[in-house]
Amino acid sequence: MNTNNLKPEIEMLKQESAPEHLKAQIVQAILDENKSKKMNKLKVLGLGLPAIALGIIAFGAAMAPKTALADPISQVRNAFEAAQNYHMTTYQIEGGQRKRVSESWVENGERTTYTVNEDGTLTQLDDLFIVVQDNVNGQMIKLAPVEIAKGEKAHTEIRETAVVGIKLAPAQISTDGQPPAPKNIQGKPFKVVEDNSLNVKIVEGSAIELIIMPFVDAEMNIESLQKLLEDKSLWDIESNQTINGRLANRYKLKETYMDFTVYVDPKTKLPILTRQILTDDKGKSTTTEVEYEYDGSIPPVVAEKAKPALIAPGKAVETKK
Amino acid sequence: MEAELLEKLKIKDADAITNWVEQHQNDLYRLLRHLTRHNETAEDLTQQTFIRAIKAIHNFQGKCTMRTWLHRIAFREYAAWRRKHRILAPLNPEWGKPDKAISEIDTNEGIINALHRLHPAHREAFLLHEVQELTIEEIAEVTGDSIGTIKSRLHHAREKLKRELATTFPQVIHEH
Repeated sequence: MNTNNLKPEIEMLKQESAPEHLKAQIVQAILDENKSKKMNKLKVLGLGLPAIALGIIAFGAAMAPKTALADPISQVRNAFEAAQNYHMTTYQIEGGQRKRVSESWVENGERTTYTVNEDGTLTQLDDLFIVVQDNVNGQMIKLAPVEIAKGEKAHTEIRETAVVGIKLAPAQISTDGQPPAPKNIQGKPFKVVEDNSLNVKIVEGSAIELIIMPFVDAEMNIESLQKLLEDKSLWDIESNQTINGRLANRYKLKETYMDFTVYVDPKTKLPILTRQILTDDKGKSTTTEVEYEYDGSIPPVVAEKAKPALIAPGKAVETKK
Repeated sequence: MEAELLEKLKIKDADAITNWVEQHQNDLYRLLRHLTRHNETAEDLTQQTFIRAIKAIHNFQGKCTMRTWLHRIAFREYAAWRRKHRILAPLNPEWGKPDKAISEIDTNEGIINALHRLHPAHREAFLLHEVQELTIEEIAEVTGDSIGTIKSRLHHAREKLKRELATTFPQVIHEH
């Protein structure tokens, strides 16, 4: 079979042409982009990730060529402020089974995250990651760990490190399909830990583009959520939903490639549950839920910070104040 | 000529950018419009393709043509879009009504609809080869797949289209 039979139809398909306004629009967009890049080079941002953050929350708006969401990146950055005391439990839902994967405690802005091991014990996480995408071949690469303190404040530092690292990276272009090795501010190469196929966003850069995960952690802090919820244009809102037996307002994020919903206590306005559903290229969905508790939960303390410790839940030897 | 254009693009020369966009926009828009079946999305992705390309223009090494390179970027933009939007909205919700007269336009929509009943990878290979007129090697460059895979996809696309159009528009197949 050849396509001779279809030639007239194929010819018709070839007749499609761009609308008249498109050229001017594109040229203007390129020139504007260039202008804004010069004005604000620090626009390039990245966020660190706890090593557990396979359930990353990545809001996809920045992928949209037109600004569908009003600068969600800076919204989130601005929202990263000292958190209140609270406790987050992250669950992965697979095949209807809800599996607890991590626990985090936030005290005065300091967050301590633990993965839940198979035996129910907890392992503290210190490592933060940067994810970049090779602009040439599209590979996503998780870089790190970078020596940095844990906690939300670390995100800012790691971003700036990443920006500089990325700016030094053009010479590291991958042309052979192998992951490139961008360098950090000191010129030391990051260690390439593993490829990363998560849905994340690209910002800008030359050879290697930093990927933005604006609201990244599956365990988003309360201030970030609250700040986001203030922008009503981002959300479809349904009041008075019942979630886990409690009355809640439901905020569902618009215009994103992932399904992301925040359930908020209508009285306190505090988030009580977030649910994100990420679907990969093969149609496989991963659901992550995060429950927020405001009961003054006290985190366990790891005796030796340098070494990840195993602590049975509820059996911490020491407790923080 | 292309080298001269390239140098001007690297310094963001406005005239060069205008010419460059003019030269390639129809090509890219057509591909993206057929792939996405959505005019505004095709416009957005076309724009995004040029923006990405101009940012990465320093990386263009001339190992393939500018056209192929732009197709590769456009295809990645499309792939990212597809990940985000799994449901493809038909351009015309009225398509496929059995009692509609078959005009030239309808036939055109007919093949588009038939294309969109293909497996995405088959559809993409077909559009890149038959409509965009890329060679097998160029398609492999654009999609990152092997030549054998592209050939196989083209074969399946043609076979499926033949069957689809024979059912929906029998005169199309028989008259040519």
